[in-house]
Amino acid sequence: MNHLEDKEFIEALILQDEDAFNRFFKYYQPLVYSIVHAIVGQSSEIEDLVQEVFLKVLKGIVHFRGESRLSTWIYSIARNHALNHISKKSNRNPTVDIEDEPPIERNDPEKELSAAERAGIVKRSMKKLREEYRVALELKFMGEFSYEEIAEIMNLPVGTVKTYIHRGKEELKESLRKNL
Amino acid sequence: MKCEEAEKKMVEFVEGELPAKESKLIAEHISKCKKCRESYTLHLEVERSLKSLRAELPSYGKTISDVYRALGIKRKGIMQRLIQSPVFAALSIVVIGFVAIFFSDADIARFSMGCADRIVLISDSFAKAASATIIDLFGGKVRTLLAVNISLIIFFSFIWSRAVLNFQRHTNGF
Repeated sequence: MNHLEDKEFIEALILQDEDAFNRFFKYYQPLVYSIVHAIVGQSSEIEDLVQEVFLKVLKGIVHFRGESRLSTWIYSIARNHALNHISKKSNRNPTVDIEDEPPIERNDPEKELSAAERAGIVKRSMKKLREEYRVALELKFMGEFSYEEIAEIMNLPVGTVKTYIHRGKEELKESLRKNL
Repeated sequence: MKCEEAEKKMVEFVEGELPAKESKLIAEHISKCKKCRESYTLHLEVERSLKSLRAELPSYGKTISDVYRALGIKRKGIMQRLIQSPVFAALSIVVIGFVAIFFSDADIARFSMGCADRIVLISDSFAKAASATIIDLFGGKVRTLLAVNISLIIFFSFIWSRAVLNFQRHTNGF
C-alpha cells in the first residue's frame, strides 16, 4: 500500500465508511494477528489482544500524522500492546522459562515422527528465536506478506528482513535436527 | 559445488529464489551428497511447517464483528446493504421499465420518450451513445422503452450512489 492509499484509507476510516472498514480489516488483520502471535505465542487471549489493538488503532487514527507508513504505525501499536501484555502477565504469574521446558516425549524413539509432530517441533522452537526473527517469519508465513511489505511494516531494509527470515529458518532447522 | 556453498544457499533454493543455473548446481550436489540431502529435507520440513501457520489465522470477518461489538456499532443487514446499493437502484428501474412495456399505451410511450430525451441531455456522453445505438437497432415501442431504461439506469445509479454515500457519512458513528 503506498502513501496515497494510506491517506485515502485514513480519510475513509475517519468518515467511518463500512466498506473502508472491511478493506482495512482484510489487509491489517493478518498483520496484527501475526505480530501478536509472534510475541505472545499460542494463547487463548490472542483474539482479545487483536481486538484491543484494533480499538486502539481506530480510536487513535485521527491523531495519526502520517510521519510513518500506516502499516508501521499499526505494527508499533500491536508490538507494544503484546509486549505490555507479556510484561503484566509475567508480573502477575511468572511462567516457566522456555529453556526449561521438557523435551518432546516420544513413545517409540525408533519410530519416525509424523509430519504433524515435526510441525509441532518447529512451532515450539519458534519461541526460542529472537523477537525480530519470529515477527518476520510470522508476517511472511501467517500474514503472507512479501519481503517488501514486511520491510515497510517493520521499517527495515529489505535485505535485513531477508536475513532475519533466513537466520530464523536456519535456527529452526537446527532445532528440528536436534529433536529428531 | 562444495557443501559450505550449498548450505549457504539452501534456504533460497528451498524458497525457489535462486537463478536456474545455481539451482541446477545445488540440485546436482544434493543428489550426490548425503549430508546436504539431509539438510535439504530438514529445510523442506521447516518450510512446510511454517506454511501451515496460515491455517491458524482466523477469518478477518470474526475480528470485524468483535471490534464492531466492542464499539457498539450495528452492522448493516443484507436487506439494508441491498437497498442502498446502486445495483438495486438499477434493477428496480429495469423492473419498472418492463412493467411499463407491459402496460404501456401510446401516451405512456410518448411521455417516456420525453423523459428519456431530458435525461439523455443531462447524462453523460456514454448514455447518449448507448441510447442512440439502441434506437438505431430497434424500432417501435420497445426501442423507446429500452432507451428510457438505459438512460434511467445510468442516471439513477449515479444519483443513488451519491445519496447513499452522503447518508452513510452523516449517519455512521462509533
